[in-house]
Amino acid sequence: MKTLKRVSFEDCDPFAHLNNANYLTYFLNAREEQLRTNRILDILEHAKETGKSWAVISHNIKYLKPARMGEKLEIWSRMLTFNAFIDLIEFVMIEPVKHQLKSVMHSQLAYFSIKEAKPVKHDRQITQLFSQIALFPDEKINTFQIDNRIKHIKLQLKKQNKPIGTK
Amino acid sequence: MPDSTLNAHHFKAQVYYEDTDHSGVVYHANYLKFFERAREDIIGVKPLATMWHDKGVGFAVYKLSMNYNDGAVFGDLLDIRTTWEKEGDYRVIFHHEAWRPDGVKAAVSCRLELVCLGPNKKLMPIPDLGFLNEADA
Repeated sequence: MKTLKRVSFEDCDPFAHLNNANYLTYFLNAREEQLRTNRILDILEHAKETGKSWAVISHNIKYLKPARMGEKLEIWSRMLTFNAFIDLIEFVMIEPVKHQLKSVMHSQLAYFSIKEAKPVKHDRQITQLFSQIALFPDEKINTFQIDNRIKHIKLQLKKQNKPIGTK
Repeated sequence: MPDSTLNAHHFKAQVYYEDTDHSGVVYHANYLKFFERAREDIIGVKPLATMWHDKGVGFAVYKLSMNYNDGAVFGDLLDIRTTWEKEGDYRVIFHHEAWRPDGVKAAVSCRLELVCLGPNKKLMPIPDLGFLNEADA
């Protein structure tokens, strides 16, 4: 799934590059919007209905090329895999005209009970949903190394005829 | 990760209301701002500002990994503990930990690689700034 986002003045540092912290915000906001727009999951509604939500437990991000002020970027996100408690999401930021890979982030999110503030297992409905949307549902989370994924994504960009959102 | 209680630089970061999100804890990305302030405290705001204004030289993050163990809340005064080491001529690696008051372990930990960019925004060797002489191995 992808979102188009222009790099705003307020989000940049004096080099006119997107501030490193703002990559996280761009990525996570894009993901939230993609899930809602594609009617996959409304995180806020899910929280209201079930009392459960997701919390970030780790980020691993590589800044390959600077995202420059004013650039119009594509932000892709996809679930790589998941287990009973945690999802692994991959985020990709590219400049689509030059096919330039700007950044890749891997984030682990834990499912938790808002009231009890502790991790809980994905319920059956969520597990079924994730089984359908995860790119590699049978792989373990620690299988994925960001550097290997970056090589794979760069190959996809080089081929150009294969959309970034596929395996 | 080096023992964070010894030889670490300590920087106090106050958690304000605006730093927190709907879940009541510090928004995950905001820790990076605390860590950046700690780095500026280590290097010195004045030398950094002089470097930037006079020569157009600044630092950029090349990669980072973060782990979140606990959430800091509005009102916490965090202890940002930092150690660092130079790697080659072009890179400094920082290890940051954010500790809550009375915390028994770091709420958030981060490993971050910093590079230096010249006025042409090209990679350049890390300039000779005093903080590297205090780097921990």
